[in-house]
Amino acid sequence: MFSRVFSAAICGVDAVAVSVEADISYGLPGMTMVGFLSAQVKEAQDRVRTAVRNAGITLPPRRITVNLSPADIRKEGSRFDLAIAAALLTAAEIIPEGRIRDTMIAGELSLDGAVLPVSGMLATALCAKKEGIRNMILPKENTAEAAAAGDVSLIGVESLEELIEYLRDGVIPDLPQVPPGPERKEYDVDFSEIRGQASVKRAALIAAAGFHNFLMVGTPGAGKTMIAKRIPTILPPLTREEKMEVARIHSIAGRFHTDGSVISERPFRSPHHTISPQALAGGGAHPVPGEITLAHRGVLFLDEMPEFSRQSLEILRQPLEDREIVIARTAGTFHFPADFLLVAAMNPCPCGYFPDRNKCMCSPAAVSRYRQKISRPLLDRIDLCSRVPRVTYEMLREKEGAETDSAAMRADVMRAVRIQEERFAGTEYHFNANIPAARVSEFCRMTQEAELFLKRVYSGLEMTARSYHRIIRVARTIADLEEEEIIMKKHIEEAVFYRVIEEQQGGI
Amino acid sequence: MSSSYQTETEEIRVIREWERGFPERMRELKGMPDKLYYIGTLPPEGPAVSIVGARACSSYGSAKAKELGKFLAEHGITVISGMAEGIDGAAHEGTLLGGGKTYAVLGCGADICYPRTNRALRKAIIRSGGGILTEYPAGRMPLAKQFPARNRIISALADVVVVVEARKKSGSLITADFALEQGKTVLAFPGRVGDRLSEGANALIGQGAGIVSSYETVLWELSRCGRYVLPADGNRTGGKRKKPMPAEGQAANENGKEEKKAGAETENTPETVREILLEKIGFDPVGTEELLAAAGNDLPGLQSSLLDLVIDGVIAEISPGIYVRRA
Repeated sequence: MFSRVFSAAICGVDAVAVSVEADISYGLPGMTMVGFLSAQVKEAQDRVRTAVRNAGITLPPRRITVNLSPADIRKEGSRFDLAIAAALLTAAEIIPEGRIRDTMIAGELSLDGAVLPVSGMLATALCAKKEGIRNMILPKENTAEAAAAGDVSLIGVESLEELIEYLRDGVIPDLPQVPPGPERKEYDVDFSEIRGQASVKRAALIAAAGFHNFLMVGTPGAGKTMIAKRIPTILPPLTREEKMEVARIHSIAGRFHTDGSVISERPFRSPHHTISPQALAGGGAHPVPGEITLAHRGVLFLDEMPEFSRQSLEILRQPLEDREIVIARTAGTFHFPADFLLVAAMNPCPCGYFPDRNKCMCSPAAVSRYRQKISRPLLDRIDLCSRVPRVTYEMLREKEGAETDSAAMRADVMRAVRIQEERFAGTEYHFNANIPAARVSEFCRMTQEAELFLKRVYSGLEMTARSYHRIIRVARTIADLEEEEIIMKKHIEEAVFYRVIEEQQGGI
Repeated sequence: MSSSYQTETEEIRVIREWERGFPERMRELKGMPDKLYYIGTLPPEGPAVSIVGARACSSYGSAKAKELGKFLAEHGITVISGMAEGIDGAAHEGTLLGGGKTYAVLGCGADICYPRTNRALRKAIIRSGGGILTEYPAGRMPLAKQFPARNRIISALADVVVVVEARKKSGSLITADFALEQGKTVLAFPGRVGDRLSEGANALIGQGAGIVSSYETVLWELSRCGRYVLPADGNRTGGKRKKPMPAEGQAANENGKEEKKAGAETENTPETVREILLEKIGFDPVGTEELLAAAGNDLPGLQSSLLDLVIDGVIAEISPGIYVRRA
C-alpha cells in the first residue's frame, strides 16, 4: 500500500515543501530510504521503527520503501521523523488514508514515541500556508512559534500515540489554544539609563533616524556597549511583513522567547571578535544564516572592531551595499537577507587611553597601526562617528529621570522616518543612508549659506568626495529630524562634527 | 631580514677620524667611533643643540620641540637629534621649517630609514643641506642595543642637550648622562608633577639640569659656553641674562590654562563660545563633554565653534571628540 504526507525541508531561510512517500510491498522484510538524504535523516528509520513499536504497533514484516521528494533538495535534520512515521502508519493501514491528505507534519521522534521540538517551524507553517495546506501537526512546544504564521490550524502533539489517536479517531490532543503571542514589552533596556553622554546620544539618534552606520570611539568602560544595546529601542517598530521576516530567520536559527514564541522585535546581535568569516556571513556545506542575517532589520554590533580578523570585517562590505548576502556552495546558491544597521565600537589605541599620555604608552606607530586594522573601504561605509567619554562621578550622581528616554527619542526618529517614506516613495530606497552618490543633489537641497560653508569645510578639512557625500546624507537626516525641507548650515555643521575623521588629519 | 626599511640608493660616504672634516667635537672625546658613515653633509663646527625626548610624546611636547627647532634655526644654530618618532622628528621638522640645518644620528645603517614613517623627513633633511650620520655600516638593521650607543654621538655633536619630554626610564636620560660625562650642558623642559611624560625631565632638573623657561634660555646657555654671541641690544631675542622673555605661543597657552572664566553659562554668542574654547583647549587633550559644560551646555553652538577653530587650523581633532591646540 502506498501513502503520501507533506513535510518541509529548510533551505537557507525558507522552507520548501517535501512530500514523504511510503510504500509497503511484498519482498524481503527491510526498510530503504531514498531521496537525497543526509545521515541524520537516514537515522530516522531506526528512530521511527522503534518509536512505532514502543507505541504498541507492529509493522508487517514486509519490504518498506520511503522516498522524500523532490529528490534534488538535500534534506537535513531530524524534522522528518514524524512525517515518516505518519506515512508508514498510513501505508500499513493503521491510519485511514484520507486523514493526512491536507496536513503538513514535522517533528522529531524519540525512541519511546515522544515528539520533540525542531527549529524552523514558523518557516514550515508559512510554507504550508503558501502551498494551501490547511492543517499542520507539529510538536506541542513549537505551536506558539508556528502560530505567528496564522491561517493554518495547528495540532500540537506530545507523543506518537497522540498523533495516532488524532488521525485515527479524530481526538484532538488536550492543548490550550495558543493565540498569536500577546503584545510584550518590547525591550528591557532604555536610553534613560544612560547618564550624560549628550553628544553620543544625539549621534545615536541621528544614526537610527537615517539608518546610518555608526562608529563609537572611547576608552574601555565608557559605555559603548550600553549605548549600542539601546539603539534597537529607538529604531522604528517593525512592520508586519518585517516582523514575519525576522521571526522566520530566528525560528530557523532556533532562537525563541522563554514562552516559546519566536523573536520578532528588532534583533541586536553582538558576535565576539573571534568570530570566523563563515559564522559572520553564513556558511557551511549546506549554508545556514550567519550573524549578519540574524541581525537583519536590527543592529549588528561589533565591539572592539579592530580585534576582528581582517577577513571577517571585509566580508561586511558587500552586504552593507546590497543588504543581502549571496552564498554559493555545492548545495546551491543561497540568498540570505542582511539589512542591518552596523554599530561598531573601538578603543582609540591598543591600551584604550590615547591621547591621555599619562596612561597611554602606545607609540604613534602602534596607534596608527591599530586604526588601520579597519580598512578604508569599510570605514567609507560608516557615516557617523562619535566619541564616548568616560563617565564621571557627577554624571552618575545626576538625578534620575533627567535623561531623555527611548520613547521620546523614538518619536523623533519616527518623524524623520515618515518624511523619508514620503521622499522615497516609488524608489528602492528607504532611508537617507541609502541615497546613492549620483542622486544626492536631487534629494538633498541646501541653502546657499550651507553650500558655501560646505565648500569651506571641504577644503579646510581635506575631505574626499566620499566623505562629502556622507556628510550631506547625514545632514539630510538631521534636517529631517527638524522637519526642514532644505538643509541649512547648522545641519551641515552637526554632520561634519560627527564625521569619520580621515587618516591624513590625524585619524581616529 | 626584511629590507622594507631600505631606501633608494644614495651615496653613503665614509670619513675617518684622521681625515679633515671629521667633527672636531668628537675627536676631543673618548669612546667615539673612529669613522662615520654619512649622507649629505657633516655638522659644521658652529653652535649646535641636541633636542631629544620621548617617542610617544604628547601634543604639547611635539609642539614645543618643533617651536624650539624653528627658533634655533632662525638663530643660525644647528640642531642634532635622532630622527625617531615623536620629539626627535618634531625637532627636525621645526628646524627645517626655520630654514636651518639639522643632522640625524641613526642607530642603524645610513641607508636604512627607521622608523619607516620618517621617509619624507629623511629626504627633507638631506635635501636641505643637513645630513644623516651613523657609526654603523650600510645595511645594518635597527637593533635595540645600537640606540643607546648612538645617543653618545647625539650629545657629543652638540654644545647643549635639551630634553623635552622623557619618562622615568627614557633613552633621553641616557643621552643626558652621556652629555654630562662629555661635559656638555643639559637643559630640560619642566613638566607638571604627576605627568608621567615629564618624570624623567623633572628628575634631571632635580639633579641640577637647567630649566628651559623660554627658548632664549638655550641661547643664553650657548653663549655661556662660548659658542654663541648674544645680540647686544637684545631687542629681537630679549636675551637678558636673568629675565628671558617667554616664547610666543607658550605664554598664551599657559595663561589660558590657569584662567577660569566665570559666568560662561550666561552668554552664548559664537564669539564668546570661541573665546571660552580657546581658553579651554591647550596642549593637553580636551574632550567634547568637558567643553560642553564650559560652553553652557549648548551642543549645536559648541559644534559650530569647534568646527570653525578646526577649519581655521587653530585646534586639531586628534581623536574623535578630542581637541588640542595646534603648534
